[in-house]
Amino acid sequence: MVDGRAAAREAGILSPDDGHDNRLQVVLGDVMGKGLAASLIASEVRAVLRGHSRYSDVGGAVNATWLTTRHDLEANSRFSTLWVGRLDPSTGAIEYVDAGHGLAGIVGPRGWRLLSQPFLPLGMPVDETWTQATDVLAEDEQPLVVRRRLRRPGRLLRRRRRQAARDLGPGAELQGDRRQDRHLRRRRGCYRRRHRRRPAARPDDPIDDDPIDTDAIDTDAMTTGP
Amino acid sequence: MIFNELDEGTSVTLQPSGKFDLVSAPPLKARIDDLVRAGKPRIVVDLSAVDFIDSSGLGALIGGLKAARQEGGDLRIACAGDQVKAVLKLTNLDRILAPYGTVEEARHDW
Repeated sequence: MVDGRAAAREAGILSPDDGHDNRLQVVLGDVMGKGLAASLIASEVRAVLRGHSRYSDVGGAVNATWLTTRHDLEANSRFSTLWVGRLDPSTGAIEYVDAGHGLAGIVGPRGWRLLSQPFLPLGMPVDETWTQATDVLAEDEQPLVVRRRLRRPGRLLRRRRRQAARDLGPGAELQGDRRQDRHLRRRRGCYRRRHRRRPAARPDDPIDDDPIDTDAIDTDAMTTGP
Repeated sequence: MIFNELDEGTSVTLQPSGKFDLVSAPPLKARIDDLVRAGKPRIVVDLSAVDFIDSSGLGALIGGLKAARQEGGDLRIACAGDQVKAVLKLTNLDRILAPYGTVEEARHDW
């Protein structure tokens, strides 16, 4: 299941919500910048999106969130990346919108595929309309939304794939895809320079408003499956 | 942050260096705003000496782009390194901040 502890400590948006006809909605977002202003806008985007999600599909909720938060984003020169997915555990159907997040996919023993779209983040100085896409998870697959700055997304995906193969039993065969792994390695390159291991956060530490502190994230808590 | 500035008449080129992040982005954004207010809304940001950019740096570029376009100009980036290009690609911001290979290419029609 998704764990909201990380969201409570950061300006990023990690919003598990199970109030959509037993579907699970997962939101991962990041408001540009740091400090109190970014944290407040992140909270606003999160709350507004959660509200619109009650009455709209994923695409409609993201568009409505943009219309609602547009003034505050523009007035403060901020923008927000978002990945919003809504999963029906009974069928494996997943609806999603990727607004400039770029690191989400489905992982299984046969490999992985990205759940990404070419949309801009919210808050850009051009008109944009976000439309949702759909995919269906097989029984042996699980969605994986990766936070920015993850050190080794390729390693994580390979680990997930091996785990999925193990879950199938001793006779299962792992089918790796080297091209996909190379693609991920290229993507991770942009985050490598600044990655220095930091000590893990403790409960009494002051709130860290850096929305993309990978080391404080338990990646297991960010995945869910049917 | 110390950055070089070259006024070429029809456009101004700014060249930040090092990490383009929370610390270094605000001064550059402030300078872009000053240039736009001074009637020089055609700006090229030469990123050849930038080895890292984060969301604050992206925000400064997007904010500068918005300010420049509101005054009838544009903000373009040139000589971006692999890390900058990867971040732009990942966030799809390369749709509105297309990286040019050289400063000359960026200001070719100005």
